[in-house]
Amino acid sequence: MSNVNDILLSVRNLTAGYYTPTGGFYFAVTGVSFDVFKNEILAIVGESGCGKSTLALSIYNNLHSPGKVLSGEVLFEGKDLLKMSKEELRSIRMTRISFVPQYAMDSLDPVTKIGDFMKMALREHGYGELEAEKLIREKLSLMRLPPEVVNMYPLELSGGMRQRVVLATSMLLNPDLIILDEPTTGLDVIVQYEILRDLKIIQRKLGFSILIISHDLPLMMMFADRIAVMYAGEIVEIGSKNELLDNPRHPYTYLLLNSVPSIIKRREVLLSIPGNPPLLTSIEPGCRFYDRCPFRLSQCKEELPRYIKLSETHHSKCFRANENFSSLTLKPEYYEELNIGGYKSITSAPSVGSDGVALSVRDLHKVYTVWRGLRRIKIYAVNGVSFNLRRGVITALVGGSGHGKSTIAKIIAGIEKQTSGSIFLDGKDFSKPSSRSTMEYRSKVQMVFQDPYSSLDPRHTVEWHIRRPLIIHGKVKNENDLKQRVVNLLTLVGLKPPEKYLNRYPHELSGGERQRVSIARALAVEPAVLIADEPVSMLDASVRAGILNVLKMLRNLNLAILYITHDLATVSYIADEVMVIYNGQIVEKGDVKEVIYNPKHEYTKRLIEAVPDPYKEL
Amino acid sequence: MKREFALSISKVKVITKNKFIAIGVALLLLDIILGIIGSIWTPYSVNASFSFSEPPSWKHLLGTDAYGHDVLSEMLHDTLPTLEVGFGVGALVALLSTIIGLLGGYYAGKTASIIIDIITITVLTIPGVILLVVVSSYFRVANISVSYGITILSLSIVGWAFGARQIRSQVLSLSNREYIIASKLIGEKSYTIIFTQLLPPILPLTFAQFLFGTLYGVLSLVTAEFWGVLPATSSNLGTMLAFISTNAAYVSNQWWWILGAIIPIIILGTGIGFLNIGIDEFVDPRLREIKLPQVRRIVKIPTDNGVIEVSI
Amino acid sequence: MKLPIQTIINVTKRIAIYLAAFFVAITVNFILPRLMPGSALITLLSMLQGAIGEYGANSALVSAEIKQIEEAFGLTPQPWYIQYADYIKGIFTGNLGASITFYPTNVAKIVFPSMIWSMGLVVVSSIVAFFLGSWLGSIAAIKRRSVTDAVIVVVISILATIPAFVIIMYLEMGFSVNLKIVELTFPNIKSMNLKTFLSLLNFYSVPVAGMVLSLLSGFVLGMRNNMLHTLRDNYVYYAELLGLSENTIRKIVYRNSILPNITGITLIIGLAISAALTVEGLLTIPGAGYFFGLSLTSRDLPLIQGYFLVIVVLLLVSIAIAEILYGLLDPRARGGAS
Repeated sequence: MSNVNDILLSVRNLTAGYYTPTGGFYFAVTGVSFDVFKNEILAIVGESGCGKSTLALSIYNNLHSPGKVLSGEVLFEGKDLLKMSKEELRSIRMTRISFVPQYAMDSLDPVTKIGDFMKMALREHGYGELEAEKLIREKLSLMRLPPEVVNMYPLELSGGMRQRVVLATSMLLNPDLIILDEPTTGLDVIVQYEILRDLKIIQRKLGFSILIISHDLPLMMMFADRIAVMYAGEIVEIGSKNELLDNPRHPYTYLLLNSVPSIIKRREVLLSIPGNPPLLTSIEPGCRFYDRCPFRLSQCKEELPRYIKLSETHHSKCFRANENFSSLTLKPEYYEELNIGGYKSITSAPSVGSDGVALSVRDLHKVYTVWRGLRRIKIYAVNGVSFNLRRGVITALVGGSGHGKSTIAKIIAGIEKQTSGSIFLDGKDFSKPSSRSTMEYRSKVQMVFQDPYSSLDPRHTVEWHIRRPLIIHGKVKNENDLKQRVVNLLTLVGLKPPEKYLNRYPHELSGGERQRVSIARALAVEPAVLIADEPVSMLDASVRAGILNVLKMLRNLNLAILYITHDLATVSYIADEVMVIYNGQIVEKGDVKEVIYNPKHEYTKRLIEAVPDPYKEL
Repeated sequence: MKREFALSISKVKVITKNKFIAIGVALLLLDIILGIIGSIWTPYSVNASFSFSEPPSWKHLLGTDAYGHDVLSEMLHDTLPTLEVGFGVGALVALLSTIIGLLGGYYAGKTASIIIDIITITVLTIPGVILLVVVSSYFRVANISVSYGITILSLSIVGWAFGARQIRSQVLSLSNREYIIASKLIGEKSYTIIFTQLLPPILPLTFAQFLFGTLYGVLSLVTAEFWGVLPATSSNLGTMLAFISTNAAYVSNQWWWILGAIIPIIILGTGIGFLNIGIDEFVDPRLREIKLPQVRRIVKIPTDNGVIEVSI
Repeated sequence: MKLPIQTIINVTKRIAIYLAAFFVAITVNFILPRLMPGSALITLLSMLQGAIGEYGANSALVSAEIKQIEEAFGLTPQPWYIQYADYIKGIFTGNLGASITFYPTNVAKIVFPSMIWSMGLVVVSSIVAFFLGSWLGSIAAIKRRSVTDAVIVVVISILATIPAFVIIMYLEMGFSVNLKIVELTFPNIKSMNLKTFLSLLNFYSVPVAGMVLSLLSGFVLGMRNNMLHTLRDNYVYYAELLGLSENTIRKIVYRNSILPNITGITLIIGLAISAALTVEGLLTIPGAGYFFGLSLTSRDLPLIQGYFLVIVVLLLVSIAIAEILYGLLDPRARGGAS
């Protein structure tokens, strides 16, 4: 597989970055070199800010102002893509190399039918009506889409179907290389699994190469043949999937692998990587991972590590690449033990029932009526759900998108009305929807949202976000008390030192830090029940463990936590009990170990199959 | 506190660096100054008579009109009342459309919002000019004169509708953001959410409504004066144009007279045009443009293949 | 075009809201004169007494009209809801009372034909302004912040502040008075044949041009705004990645931006009607502008009210049509995914 004749695309010394509004510049990619071979799936994996999307766009020569490619070559069939004329580039795009951007499924022209759109794209490349129709039919069926799709508008299709349309479009002219930038973000976990599985089958059959960009290391381990790990603008390790899995030789790769929960290899503690990746406004000497590396040497600060060849295919950019990291010990901050401090119990009122049930939901229903054709149809978003949330227990609610998890969360939080069913909080009846908008209810039930980028008000500081609930619920007596409480809460969720965070605005924080602020905001109220709606699904892998550890710690504060997710692996890490929801009904529930290692319902089994896990193979 | 101050200074810097806003503001100020000057001094008295319909000369920079009055003096004298009506309508329209837009967007879906929707559409169908002249004619029949206050009020009462719809749709989409829902969840009162969280991002739209309302106010005033039913409490550029129309000044080629009436309006229009371009990056932050630095510098990047030099 | 039930429901809901707005509007028209200072009507009545002398009208008929106005304006001791019922009845039977100046002609007989004539000018100018304005707006958006953009936006903003009749004054001065290629006054039409038709077109070239220039601003700025957003939308970016040519991309963006611009008509058409009336007044075209101006100067309250009502209804219908049309044409407005 590493024969020189097999190289399809060659990237040499690519350097690119962005100009800032104030006239500065920061680097996103520096001196990156690698090859894409024929008939392979190569994944570039990295967390937010590592430069992977910039890399992909630069390769395709589509990096626009304020971005700029500063140097390097992208060699394809002897020609440099970066030096081609617009016309030459256009003739290559879609025909030899296709690019599927992130959120492509939302990028389809909303006022054009799918079929017309694909025909237009083909027409631009010189294909007439009849030929176009043939190609379209072929590729749609390859991606398992029904032929009626050609007459539909993008709005009429689900996210998964739109993504298949986009993928089919990229394959229309049988290109040699398809570049995919995060092709499955925002998709349901089972849909994601099915799309990648089908894509791999097609790739093996037709023999083109795939260069896929992703932040999801376990998913890429399932999908790709080779993986390049990217950090702070460089590729720090590259090798075949098995080589990286069994033998990670860069500290970052090693830590990443140990920060993702796995069902197959259960871990008691997940590692998290403290700190944040550097912003490359200037090029400093030494290793860029130095500040966060558990295995650093003084040499690492002064000299830039060079690639050490571990095998024909396996390279790592670390001075210690020849050592086995699992034999080294790690400092405690990588385990992020959180200190409860002076908080013995968060909730002020003890539970009424002696069995510790904080929230009880009985026979919950939520029905929508819509028109389909000429009939009115009822959609049962929530169809007879009952469960209890106990203090000191983390209950997980697992299922794919659209099966009712968020609806249940919103109903319990008091944002939505249920059609029928009762809700009891600490034994008191709060079934009436209006009763769940009262201060009494709100002081006991709080929620943390999925998207860290929209759950904080961009115009207000961190301190404001924590002050407001404290003031509204009368938790403090005076200004000093207030300041102290805010600091305590920030410390509790792991934002150290808290003073540094008080006056920061959300855009200055990373995703993980924002989620911690959201949790602190919810805790300020001193609730009995905390609903966590997919709190980590939009975060980077190395950051997830930190947030999950915070939630685990909260259990010791006697909170009843409802953890909603589609990721069963995280469930196996933090939850005590789990409920699987399918089409609005709970199809399986019980102790976490029981359900995961001994699933009974079909849907549970499918979820387990679809969960990204580095030890699986697609 | 210091940080917030520093942030607002940087915001002011962005605003002043924006050439379009600077030019727009300058033109508006020019017009206002013209108006202020005109209200205290004119080259000749507005009532002084000279020879009729003289084209521009050094004595009369804009010539004289069909009644022998100096056109430049008339123009200066009439500008301020016109601007007062314009800005008055602009301010009132901005206020009304913002408040109604905020309430309509935040409470969308509830009965109150549907009522607001109906009222908005009704108001959209009543042209300000028509309402103004109709109301004025009723007043005239009763021999009561129509003050500028009534004028501003009549125009504003129907001028807010278009902007309210725009603001409403923006507020609606903001209200569905998670941080607003989070605020509701921690128990924030509705009016606090509306004024501390929903209003600030809307302010550029409010300003745009002010600009639009000013234009609309001036245009409507001038059009309404054409009918001659507004017994003007003081003369304004509209009354000047009304005289021009009844005298059919275009037939007799008195282009300078017409020009005199519209110069301040042209300045106002140009200023608003520039401001419009200038503020679109605030209304939509995606439009913010990044300027490449003038001076380039060389940075050395060490890589496995040696040191790369790049110029940024 | 296959219409899903959801769209039909949405359209019906919109029509219901417009009907509600219609009733609110005519109620406003009902209330408005009653809010006016009471002495207004006394003056009116004394005018009517004077009408007997001034217009030589039959005194018995005038007395009947006086009684009708007394009833219409609530000076008779009839409870308001009966007055309201009569008013509504009057509207639906087309009986809007008799004009004072053109006594005893029914107001409706004056208002309807003249408004229909004037609407011709309004509709033609609006449609031309829509297409021309959208095209100019798209150029301005593509060349944002360049000289072209600044020139277009500034010129348009100036045109927006200059009333239509002033623009027409300059145009007439140029083309009619000085160049003598356009008729200055409304041609005298004894019968309609090719010659009179051409002279009509010739005459109308300036008013239409002037109206179009005056109405451009709303469409130009609206289109520019829409395109600025669309140009930065994801699907433009995606189209580029697919290797589509710049021209194709521009066509896509144009199409997506012009559709919402149709709702700009809701704002423009009110201004257009006001402008058309002034233009007709200026050039003494025998349309609604002429009669409306007359009604204002001669304080013919029933006629004024008649015009007000008809204008409001016309606007309502135009806006309703524009919105429903947009709702049908743009899939984004039609309703979402399964």
